[in-house]
Amino acid sequence: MTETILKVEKLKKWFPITRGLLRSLFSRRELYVRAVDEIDFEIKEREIFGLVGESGSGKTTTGRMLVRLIEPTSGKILYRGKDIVSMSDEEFKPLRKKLQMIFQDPYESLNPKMTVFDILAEPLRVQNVAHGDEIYERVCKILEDVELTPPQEFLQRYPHELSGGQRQRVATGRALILNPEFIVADEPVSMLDVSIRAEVLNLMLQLSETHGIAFLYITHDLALARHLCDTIAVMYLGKIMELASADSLIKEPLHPYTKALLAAVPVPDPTSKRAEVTIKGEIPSPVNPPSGCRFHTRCPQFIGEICKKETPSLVEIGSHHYVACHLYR
Amino acid sequence: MAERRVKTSTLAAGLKGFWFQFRKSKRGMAGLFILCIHVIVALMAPFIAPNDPIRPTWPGYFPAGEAPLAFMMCVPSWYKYLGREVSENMEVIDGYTFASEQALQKWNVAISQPTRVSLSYNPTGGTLNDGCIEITYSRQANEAAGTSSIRLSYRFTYPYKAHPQRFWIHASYLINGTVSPSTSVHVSFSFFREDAEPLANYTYRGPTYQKDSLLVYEYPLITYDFYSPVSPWRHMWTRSTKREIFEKPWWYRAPEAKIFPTSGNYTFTVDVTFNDQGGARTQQVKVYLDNLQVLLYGNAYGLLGTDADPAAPRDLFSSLIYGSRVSIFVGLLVALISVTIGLTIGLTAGYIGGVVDEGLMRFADLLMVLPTLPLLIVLAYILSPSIWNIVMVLSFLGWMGFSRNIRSVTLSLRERSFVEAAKVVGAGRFYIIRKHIFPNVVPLVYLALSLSVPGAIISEASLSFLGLFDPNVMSWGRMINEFNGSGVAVTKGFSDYWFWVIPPGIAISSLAISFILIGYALDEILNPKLRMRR
Repeated sequence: MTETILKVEKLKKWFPITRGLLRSLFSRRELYVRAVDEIDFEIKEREIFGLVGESGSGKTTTGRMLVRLIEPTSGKILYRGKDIVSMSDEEFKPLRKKLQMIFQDPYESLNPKMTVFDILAEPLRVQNVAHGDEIYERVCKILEDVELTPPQEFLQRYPHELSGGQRQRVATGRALILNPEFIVADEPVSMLDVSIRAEVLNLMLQLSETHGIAFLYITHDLALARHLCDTIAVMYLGKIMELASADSLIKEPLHPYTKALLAAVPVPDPTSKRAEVTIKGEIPSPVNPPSGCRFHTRCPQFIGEICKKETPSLVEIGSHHYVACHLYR
Repeated sequence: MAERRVKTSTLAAGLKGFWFQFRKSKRGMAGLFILCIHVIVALMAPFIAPNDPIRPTWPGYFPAGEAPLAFMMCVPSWYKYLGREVSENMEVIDGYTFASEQALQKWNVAISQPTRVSLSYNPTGGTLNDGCIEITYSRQANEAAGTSSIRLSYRFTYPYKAHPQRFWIHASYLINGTVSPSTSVHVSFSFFREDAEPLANYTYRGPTYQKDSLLVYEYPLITYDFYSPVSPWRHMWTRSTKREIFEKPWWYRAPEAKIFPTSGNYTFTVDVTFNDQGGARTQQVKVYLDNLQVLLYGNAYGLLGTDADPAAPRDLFSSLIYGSRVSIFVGLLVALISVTIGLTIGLTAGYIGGVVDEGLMRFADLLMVLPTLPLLIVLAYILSPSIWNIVMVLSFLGWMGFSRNIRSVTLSLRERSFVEAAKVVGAGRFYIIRKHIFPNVVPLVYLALSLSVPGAIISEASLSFLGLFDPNVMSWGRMINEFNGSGVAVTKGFSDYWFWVIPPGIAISSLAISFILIGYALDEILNPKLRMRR
């Protein structure tokens, strides 16, 4: 049994909505965007954990909380049993070496005024783990790891002199250079050309195997998640709806929302019949989320008052297959 | 060692690229050219400007006190090429006249009683012990008393048709004698004009000189009565004066015009008269004369004439040249300080946000809504207008706009994911501001630097024009202020003294324009939308 590297307990992030002075004088009710609302999950060593959901479901917020880019409103994030939420910045700084992140947009996540060498050397310098020639050697090594060879050719380039795929490799290299145990990958290929996605993804897979890194892979693409992930969690409006191993989630989706998502995945076969599960409308506002089950307003399998009144909790149905739906009580 | 091969600084590469683009802008290059001229002039000012800009004096050794550089309100000396009758400064007799025996050869000596009076050169005498002339009077006890005199004449040519405005005569003297108290020594200076019409009834203070066809103008230096036999060295100026203008007849009002009505040959004389009233003792008097200098002040001086200061008129050309130093210094320093303040406050407010942001920005708003010029005047007045105070005041009031600009850019930059990427590896606030935010606002800093210079230059000129200038430095605004204060524009007319106002005005605007042109070019480079299609 592999060890749990990261455990999330009742993690919650409500963003307060700032209002004008006049309005706040007349109304005392404070409004919040409930981006993430009490979610629990755990990630094991070397596991690739997929977080899937529509836009606005809170997956990116979750990922950013795990590396402490955002302070959670409440809840715990336990890294090897230690709660990183309650740590001070100084206490957490050495742990940052172990928890890294790859950002969505490689055009944004690399400082345009820095050379590739500076970008890759920055984590080493900030964390003060290498000096002088050692920095140079580690940077060259990591460039080879992310298949930007020969490294010397890339060291002095600026991000604008690189292609999208090369940039994301640099960003990946930057996340890897501190030898982390866990990386949050926030839709790392969504901004890339389809033709180079596979390359970058395979590189990441390979690196996770060789370096033994656990990933939290955030995506809205279920097909990609299935290909890549060991475990998949489906999020909707700040809640986890279903959590299972990739195979069982895709083969036997239990939650109506998961089913709808799977039905929406395009199949490259014009003759295949599509399941007739469709959901209508837009995702509701996270400021006033629906009562009870968050999904009841759009649910094709709505079963009555209970869905409106009671929030379903995540219960284990099969082996390592959790679902939050009143259908499975 | 390997790491050193890797370029870690982006500044040099950035500047190179910047210059490459800047070179293409004609406006920018024109601005840079004008600026270079100003900078070269400012740096080379001591070599270009012939005179001190604040208290210029006539060069030379004058123990009696400094002589002014030129007469007030002179016109430029190149007016002579425009057909104007001008006279220029002239050193008729320089300070070395009595410093060597050879120099003495140029003088014509006439002695009324050669047995009693003699002239010699004393090589170790004089105020600096470098030689002087020595006139000796001696009478044996048994000889009869009487008046004896010696005349030293120096012939020179006055080349200008216009008469000089003033003449100043400097002399040092020492009288040493063993005589009876009733003996006196009288030293006087005179100008003679050759071929002059006799002027009837012309008298001036003391003896009347009207000899054949010579116009005589005499200035008494001393009449020494021997109460004490030995005097120390005395130094004095004798100059034409207009002090008695209302007491004297019409022809006295401009003695220079009477003496030098036109060009021609003139003679300057030094007369020493010994009035021996008798006495049984042997009389012996020695008169030492040194540092004799005769200066004629013309009505034209230098490239831009002189100002209207009655005591020590300034050379306007030197003022103009030195003025560039003040404008460039104040302009650049104020821009540098205010941009630094603006950058610091903008980065702090933008990156830290919250209460700090609110506090800093409300303070900036407060300063922004204050009416600038009245505030400048009051502050400059309270702090006393030294150049450093003016720089401080202008910097203090010049950072707000730029800080708002930087704050807004910082607000957008801090949300970029490269900043988050830096946070993820554990970078602190200061590190992120320094390494990630600052390099991305550097182009704005260049732009703000070049665009805030003209404002500072013009503010400094405005303050100076309003009289709040540092008395120890000459600036262009001060030149215009002094023109305004002199009343010349009213009494003489602006067009007669255009050279006093127009050059500093052009200098101020051309320097300001050069920075604005450079700013335009930078703006074009930094905001590609403004780039013209070629």
